[in-house]
Amino acid sequence: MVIISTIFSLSSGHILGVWLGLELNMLSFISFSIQSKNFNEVEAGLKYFLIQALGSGFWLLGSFLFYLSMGSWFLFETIVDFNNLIGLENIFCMAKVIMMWGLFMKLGAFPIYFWVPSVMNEMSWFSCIILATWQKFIPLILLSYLIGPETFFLGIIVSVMSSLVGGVGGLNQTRLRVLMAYSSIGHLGWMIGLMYMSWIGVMVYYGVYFVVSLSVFLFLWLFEFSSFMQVTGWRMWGKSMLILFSLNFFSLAGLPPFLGFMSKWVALQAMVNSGSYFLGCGLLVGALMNLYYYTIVVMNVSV
Amino acid sequence: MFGMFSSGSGWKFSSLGVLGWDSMSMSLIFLVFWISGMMMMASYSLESKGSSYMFYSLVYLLTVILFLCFSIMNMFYFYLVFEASLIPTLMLILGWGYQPERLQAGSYMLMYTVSASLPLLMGVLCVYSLFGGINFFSVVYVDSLMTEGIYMSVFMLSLMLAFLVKLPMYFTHLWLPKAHVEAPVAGSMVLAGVLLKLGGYGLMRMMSFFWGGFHTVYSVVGILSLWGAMITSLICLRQSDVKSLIAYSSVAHMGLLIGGLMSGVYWGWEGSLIIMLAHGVCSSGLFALAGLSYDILSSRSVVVNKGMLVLLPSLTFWWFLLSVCNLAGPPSLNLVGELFLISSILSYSDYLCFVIGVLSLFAAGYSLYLYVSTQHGKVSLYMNSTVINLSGRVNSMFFFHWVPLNLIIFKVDL
Repeated sequence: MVIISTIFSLSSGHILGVWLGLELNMLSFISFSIQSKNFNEVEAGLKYFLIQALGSGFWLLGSFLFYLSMGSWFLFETIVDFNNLIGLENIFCMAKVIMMWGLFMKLGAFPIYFWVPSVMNEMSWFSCIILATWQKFIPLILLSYLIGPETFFLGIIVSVMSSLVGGVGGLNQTRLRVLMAYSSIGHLGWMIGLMYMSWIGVMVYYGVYFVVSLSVFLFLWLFEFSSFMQVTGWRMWGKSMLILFSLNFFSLAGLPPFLGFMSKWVALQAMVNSGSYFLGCGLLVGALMNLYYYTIVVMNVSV
Repeated sequence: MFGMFSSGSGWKFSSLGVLGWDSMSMSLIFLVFWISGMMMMASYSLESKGSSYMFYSLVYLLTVILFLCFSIMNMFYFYLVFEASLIPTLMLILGWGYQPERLQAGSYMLMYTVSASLPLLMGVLCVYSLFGGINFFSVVYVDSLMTEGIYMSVFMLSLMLAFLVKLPMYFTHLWLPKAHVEAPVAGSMVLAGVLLKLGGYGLMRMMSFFWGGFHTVYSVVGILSLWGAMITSLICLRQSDVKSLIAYSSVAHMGLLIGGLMSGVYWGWEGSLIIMLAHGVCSSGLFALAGLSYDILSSRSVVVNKGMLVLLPSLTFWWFLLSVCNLAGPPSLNLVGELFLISSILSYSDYLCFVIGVLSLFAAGYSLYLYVSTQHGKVSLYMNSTVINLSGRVNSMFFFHWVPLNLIIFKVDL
């Protein structure tokens, strides 16, 4: 159902159809994430529901404003001609900003990122995987239709701040789910910033992030880790497993010889080519802090 | 052997697609293979502990990565393998180090080098978008007017910073003593012998790429690292840990190297290459000695490592020869390198003679301190004072450390 709703949402041209897909996606995700009837999972599902419903609400509000200014419900086929928009540019920009705001909320980007760690902390590892990877797909694609030069400043601020928050938030964590939540916020910052430079780049980044974080999450899931106290028992699984585990984390951090570096490379190349050096520097600082707490995890494992 | 590739005074160059070699990279590649062999000989005791398979694979991997590093011409690929060399080193420290503090040392090393090399990545991408080419052997003649201005200085500094941390320069050296103290013998040997030289190599390549373009940054970096080297040689005198002392001594030597390189004359260039080779072999040998003493005495402290002349007379011989080389005693390659460097630094500014004087004096001082405090004196009461004979393997290892130092001096036009 999660997959079907994603396809539905992304293939409908009508804004309200997209909205329907978003809601369906949220409901189906909640329904399988609270299967175990554990109280914590229900609480996490409730938090997730509230935030996502609010995000969809913003999307709906923005789409009405969009219709008001453009006279069209079709987000993707409409050619924005500012000459026809005299007097309505403000409404049009506001519509865009409100829709983007809703999507940032659904993604868990900078201003409204608080829910991601607390929701992921209480979910099962499988739901965490879906939340950190698959659930980012629709909002990212929709975001890519909305971005434009008039929202550049907003996007850059959100991107850099998400990256920094993702770095700072994870520094003192001992719970691995929260740590992975902050790491996903950090990577989200990279994707949002990259979106202004290159669309292909975002797809590469998303694909690489999907694969690498999937392998990290699967490790954590299979060995049922949730905090550092449990991680330290690596002697049960031997040296080669330990090395694989650490290499996965280094790959997620984007250290050069690994796959994760490719996404960083693509992103930085796009940023340097379009001349936004400071965006690149800000994101790199966030990525360094990410690397720092991944290193702490690896060090804890290899005691 | 080195002379074979540099016969005559020409700057020979051969290339194979992405890879290319001139006499500088060729001599450093020889250093890589030489030190790797020594690493295997020094870690012979691992055979009995059963973890040798993975250890040897890591050493092989590191050797291949370093070989690629010294032979790749493309700046971006160079960055890639430059960083890749970090991972096997980290594994060596984490997997075969002695104390729990190795975790802290490993993360120090990782964070210092990675955070300095991310500006390098940005810089390389900028070079690509500004100049359109990132081949090491294509020289960009930078107009000196172009390098005025704060942005250009920051850009140039970002290209050098990764190598300055790797070398390490005085202000960014804190990871090195920690990493050396916690690393196993082979880890310290490769760290001092080859990985530091990677920084020098990268610095020289960057400088030749921007021929004449660094002048605003040259003076600052050169003089800071010379003063840093002086301070470091004073720090060396109050170390109680043998490995830490050797590590700080290599910081001091590298400071001299940066000073010579930043003077911007050809003698400094030649001297840097010579001292990279000399210090690579010499400090690797000293770390092997310290490691062997640790195996026998189970301590790296100079308080316990006393009177080894009684316990290990043949090892004292090697301690003496390698300490003499470390203080740049006469028939050694270090002497040639230091003479080149000192004359190039003095050609840059006469006022630096004070710094260099103190630096050279204390270089002799701490090398003698290292030798005397470990070899002479009374044997610690906790030791069995029976004479231990060295095996042929150990003797030949030190022989191979010492031979290049005192034979290449006959053919220094590398």
